[in-house]
Amino acid sequence: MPGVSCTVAEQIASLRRIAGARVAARIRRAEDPLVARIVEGWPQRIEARRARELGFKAEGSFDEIIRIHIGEDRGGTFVD
Amino acid sequence: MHVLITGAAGMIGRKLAQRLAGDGALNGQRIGKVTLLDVVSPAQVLNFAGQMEIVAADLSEPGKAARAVEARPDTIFHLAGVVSGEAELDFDKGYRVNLDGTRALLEAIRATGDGYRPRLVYTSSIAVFGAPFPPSIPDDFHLTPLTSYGTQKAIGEALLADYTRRGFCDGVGIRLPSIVVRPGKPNKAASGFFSGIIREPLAASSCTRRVCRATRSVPASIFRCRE
Repeated sequence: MPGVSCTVAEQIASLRRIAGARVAARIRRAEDPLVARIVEGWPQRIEARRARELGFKAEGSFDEIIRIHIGEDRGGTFVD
Repeated sequence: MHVLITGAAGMIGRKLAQRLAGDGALNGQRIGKVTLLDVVSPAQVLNFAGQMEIVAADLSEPGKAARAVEARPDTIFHLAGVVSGEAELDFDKGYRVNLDGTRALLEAIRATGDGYRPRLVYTSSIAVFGAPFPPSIPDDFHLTPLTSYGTQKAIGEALLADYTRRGFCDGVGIRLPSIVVRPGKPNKAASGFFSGIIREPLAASSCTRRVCRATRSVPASIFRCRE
């Protein structure tokens, strides 16, 4: 399936853009070697041509993914 | 039609069950019955007009897969599995659930015989691919997983293709990217923190970033996946 290719820094920037600096500041750094090793061995971009041809779509941006989460899982609100 | 969802208590299973119950149909066919199966009893989905069956079973245990397909479900969404981080930490559990459970389901379908050939939707993962990567990975990139989880998913894809080729089922494999933003509590998926760094701050909780800021991934939302 297709997805949005983006870095963690871009994801945090998205969160700051949509929810503000106070929300984004709640993220703390605590790197975990096991998680880092697993995730860094994963693809960073996928074509997913067959899935796209079958009608699967990815969001246009990570901002959209956050907005969907706020809208569908959080009833349109978040804690500032 | 009768739809069976394995892993129905999981993040995709719950969303899929809600969606199917709400639509009441799949591919233009009315859904008369939905079976929700997981190792823990999945929650009832309320807004469904047809029959809903809740089953607590581990498909890797003897006889459980046979019982799951006894009623000959027309479409099976096989979502059950142990997530990546857990499969890496617990080798035995990962292979038992992700490989033996999948094989047991396929074998139970085959053993049913008598013209039974359900549509089987299998959720694989982009973890079947392993670095080094080209700039963008095509569908036919070689499978060289770098985790036990990715290995189990790659074997599942091969089994699905062979059981389909032999006419035992009508298999469709989907390689899911990192699904964000996952609802609920963090689990042991290595990709789980991708959800946590968005979900927890929005709920006023702190969370931790587990990898370098430059780490690039391929997220997609769960709401796209269930389409």
